[in-house]
Amino acid sequence: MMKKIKEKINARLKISFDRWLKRRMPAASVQKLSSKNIFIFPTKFGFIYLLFILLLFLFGTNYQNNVIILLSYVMASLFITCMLHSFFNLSGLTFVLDGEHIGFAEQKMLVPIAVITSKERFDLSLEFSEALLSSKRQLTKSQPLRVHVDKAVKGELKFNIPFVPAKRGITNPGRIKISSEYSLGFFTTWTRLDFNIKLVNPPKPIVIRGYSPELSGDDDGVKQSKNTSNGTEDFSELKNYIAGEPLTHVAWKQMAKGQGWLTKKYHKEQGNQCWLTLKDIPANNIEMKLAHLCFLVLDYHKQGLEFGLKLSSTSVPPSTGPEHVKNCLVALAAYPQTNRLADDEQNALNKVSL
Amino acid sequence: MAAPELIVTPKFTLPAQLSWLLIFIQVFNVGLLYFELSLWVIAVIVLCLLWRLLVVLDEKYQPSHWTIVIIALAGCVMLLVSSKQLGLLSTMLHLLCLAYGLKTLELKSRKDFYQLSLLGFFVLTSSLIFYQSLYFSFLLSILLIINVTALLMYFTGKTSILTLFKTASKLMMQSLPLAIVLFVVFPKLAPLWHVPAAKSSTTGISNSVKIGDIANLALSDALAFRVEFDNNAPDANQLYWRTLVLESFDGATWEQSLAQKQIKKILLGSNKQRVFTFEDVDSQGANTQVKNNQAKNSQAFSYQGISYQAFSYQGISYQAFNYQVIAEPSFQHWLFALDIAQVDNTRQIMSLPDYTLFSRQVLSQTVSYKVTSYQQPLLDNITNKQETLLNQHLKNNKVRNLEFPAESNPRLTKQGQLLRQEFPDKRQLIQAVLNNYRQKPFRYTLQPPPLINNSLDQFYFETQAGFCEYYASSFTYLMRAAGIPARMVVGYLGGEYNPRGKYYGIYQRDAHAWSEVWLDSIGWVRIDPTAAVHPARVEGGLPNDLLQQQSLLSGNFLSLYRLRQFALINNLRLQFQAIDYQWTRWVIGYTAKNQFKLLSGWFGNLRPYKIALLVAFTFVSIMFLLWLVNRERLKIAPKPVWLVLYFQALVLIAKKGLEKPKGMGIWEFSKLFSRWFSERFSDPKEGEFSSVVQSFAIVSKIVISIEYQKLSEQEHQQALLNLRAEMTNFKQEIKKLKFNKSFKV
Repeated sequence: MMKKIKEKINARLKISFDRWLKRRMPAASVQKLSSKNIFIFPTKFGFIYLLFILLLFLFGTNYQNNVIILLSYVMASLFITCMLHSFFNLSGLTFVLDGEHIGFAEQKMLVPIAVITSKERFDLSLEFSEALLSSKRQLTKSQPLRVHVDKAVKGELKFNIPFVPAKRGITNPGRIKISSEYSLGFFTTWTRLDFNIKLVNPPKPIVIRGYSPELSGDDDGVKQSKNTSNGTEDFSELKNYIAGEPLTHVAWKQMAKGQGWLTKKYHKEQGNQCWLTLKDIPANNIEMKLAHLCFLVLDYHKQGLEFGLKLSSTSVPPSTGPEHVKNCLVALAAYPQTNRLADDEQNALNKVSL
Repeated sequence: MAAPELIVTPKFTLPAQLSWLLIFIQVFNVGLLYFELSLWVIAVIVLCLLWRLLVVLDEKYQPSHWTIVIIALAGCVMLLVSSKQLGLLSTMLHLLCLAYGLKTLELKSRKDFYQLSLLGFFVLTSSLIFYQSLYFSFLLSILLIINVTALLMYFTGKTSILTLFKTASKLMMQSLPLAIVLFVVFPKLAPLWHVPAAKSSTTGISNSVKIGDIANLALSDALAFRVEFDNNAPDANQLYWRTLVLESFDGATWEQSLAQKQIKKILLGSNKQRVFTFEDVDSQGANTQVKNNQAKNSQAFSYQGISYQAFSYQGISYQAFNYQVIAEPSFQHWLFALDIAQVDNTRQIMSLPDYTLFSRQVLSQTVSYKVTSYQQPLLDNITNKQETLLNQHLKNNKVRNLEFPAESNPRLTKQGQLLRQEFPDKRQLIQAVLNNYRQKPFRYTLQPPPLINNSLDQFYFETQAGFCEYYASSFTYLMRAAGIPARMVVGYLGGEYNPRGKYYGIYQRDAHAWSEVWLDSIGWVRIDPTAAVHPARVEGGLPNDLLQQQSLLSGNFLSLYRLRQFALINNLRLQFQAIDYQWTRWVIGYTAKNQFKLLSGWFGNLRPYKIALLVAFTFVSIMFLLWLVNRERLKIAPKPVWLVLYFQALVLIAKKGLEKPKGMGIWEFSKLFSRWFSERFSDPKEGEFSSVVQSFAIVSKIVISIEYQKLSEQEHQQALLNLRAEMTNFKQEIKKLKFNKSFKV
């Protein structure tokens, strides 16, 4: 009972806090940090440090040792100085992030964000503040979905913030939390910025059982590849990382890595045009059908086939090329959300009938 | 379902640079306490650090948790065993250092790193219990900055250690102002509870003196205490700093008599019960009387009648000297003062009936006290009948100071008896003895030939070479043998005046021993037989030949004092000492009393709200200053010339009523201007081709070419020239226009 009330109160508080955040720090694609949007609070270590200072002061007082007392004042004063330096470490940073970013559901994707700084910054961590609430709790627990930089040099940098979309759809992943414990770990400074970005999350591609290999050519691609994790979480310096590559291009490449995306096959198209239709896909529920469709889209593209995509209300006319695949994936992501519960029920029914 | 990604939780590792720095820091933090720690604890810590070194080199050497626990337990048992001997404070210190040493083997998470850092701070601070000098504090602050650097390094990744050290120093420097204000104004509190005192071996004069002891002490160049006189100081030859009066002699050692010890005990106990206060004691002694009489008639105490050369009291009218003594920790109770000293701080310091000062607490840290001294013979006035024991003591005083073990030095005893017969007048007797010292070939030396059984006979009649205590001892013995009450006094003589710090520094090498004899009509009179043997010692400290001896004996060839004939070195030495003195006086010796005096001098009567306001004001202003220093300065690049010119044109057009919409391109605006302008004419053609529109179009074109085309330097200059020319033209044309903002068609 008490627990429920507590939860309710917490939920209420969270809602009003979010509302307050929205008023105070409205969404924008370019955001500059200042006293308006920086939060600061002592860490646990900071509090223990304060306790240590108190102990030092008592120590000095009891021994009537002025040098120790002076030292305790210096240490206390250091605490205050660090507070300011913690603030200045974030203040003035500018973040730029906008547009759509494509990533398959339930798989890690990287959202690129540009950071402009006029001086050196230290100990920056960037993460989606709602990431912990996603369904992939275990994943996030064992490997925090954040990008951390010890030192960011002057200039413009790009970070890739890892994110695991919980499910298919087009969503706003929520605010991005940027935090730092510079300079001595006494304080944590953070901010939660809303860039109002759109994440396009097509379903995770799933191979159709019995999918004929001659159609898919040398089939080895669609199985879950080690998805893009080439150690991008904990680089210590980010200078010039993926500089100069167009944003859409990058996301694309990351996603389709290991599947021979821009191979020569792409150029020797065969011209046997066909339609991939939702209702033709053999599966129990819509989500599974979409997942299979997604697989097919990628596979067809890999083989350089011309194809169109027909969903129940929308369709993408037959074509080829990366732009086309992107359109298809957006269409898959945008397919109206089915009621999961209903799906599951149907699943259960199917099982029973089997 | 998706195959779960293979995820390895990242193992906590410190960067190599930080690991090395931590070991370095630990060595130094513990090193500061080297002299306070038992050898076995240091051995354990060294072991731990070596082990850590191995771990840093190769992680496979990481000891298991149980190994660490076993070492810790063993250490605790060792501590328990030795705790009695170490004392509480030392045991705690050992425990702290042990934990600090062991923690280094267990750096498994960020929490451990934090703990190690805090322990490091603690170890560093605790060394301040033992040492507080300026030099030490300076060393400590550098170490503190290095400690902060390590903490900083954790959050800054791959940054050079020098840069980080600079940043840490900056942090510290920026923290100093507030700390200093807090130190000055934040109320000094009394100790909140009793804490175990630091134990250490005693230094300086001890309470029993054997022949040769003072000569040994004189080998040390350590500072004993410092004195600053309020206005004028006595002559150098009057600076006899009394420390201890020794009445009992057993043939070899001078000690305090049983009666002296008893009276000390009573006085110590009495304060607690407030039965018998200091003022009472004073009233028994001469001080109060002296003070009263001095007010009435200062001449009353000038003993003009005495005509003995060696007597110090000849012809002096007894003036008072006010001075402050800052005593270095000696881990003893004895304090230092000139004759007939009165202290204001009777709560911590008491004056004993023999006019020495006694601290209730062991001098475990620097102590400062104010003294007023009246230079006059010391009386034993027995007027007050309150305290029988004290009276008893004073009455027995003379009797006690006539006792001596006659058989220990038979020849001296006999000599005394002879003298007694020869000189019925005590003063003549004393003079005769002093003349004897003067006339016989007595040598003043730090390296006297050894005496068998501390025989004074041997010294007086055979070797005739010795340091001050030889003379004082034999003289006192002789006096007693001759029936004159006499006692041995040890203390310091003279001191080095530091003109920069305006204080006297008294070092262990100034240790001295002399005698006091009782003359019925006067009281206790100081007689220094050394003055008879070697007058220079009394006038100006250790003479050069003795200093050479001293450096040979002590092996301390580098002592700066010995290089004082070199002006530059001497000046530097005096300057350093003066700074250290100010540090001692204002920082180490900053008491609640000083604070009150200082603050009420600044702010009139002291109210808590004033202090709070001051602290708040400082806090805010320091925050503001820090903000000013650290804020991100917007570097506004100077606008290029062409842009300034273009803006001039825009302003002129705006005055006529057309503002350039934000975001509109330069060429678009030129077009807009043309359209807007021609609307004002019946014939649009006329407007379109008017010179103003033409001119602005040219201006726009040039601006576009400068901004968007990559012009060479030469082309750029040419374009600028063109632009300037066209701008003058444009300005003239637009001035010709008759309409302005209010003009509407």
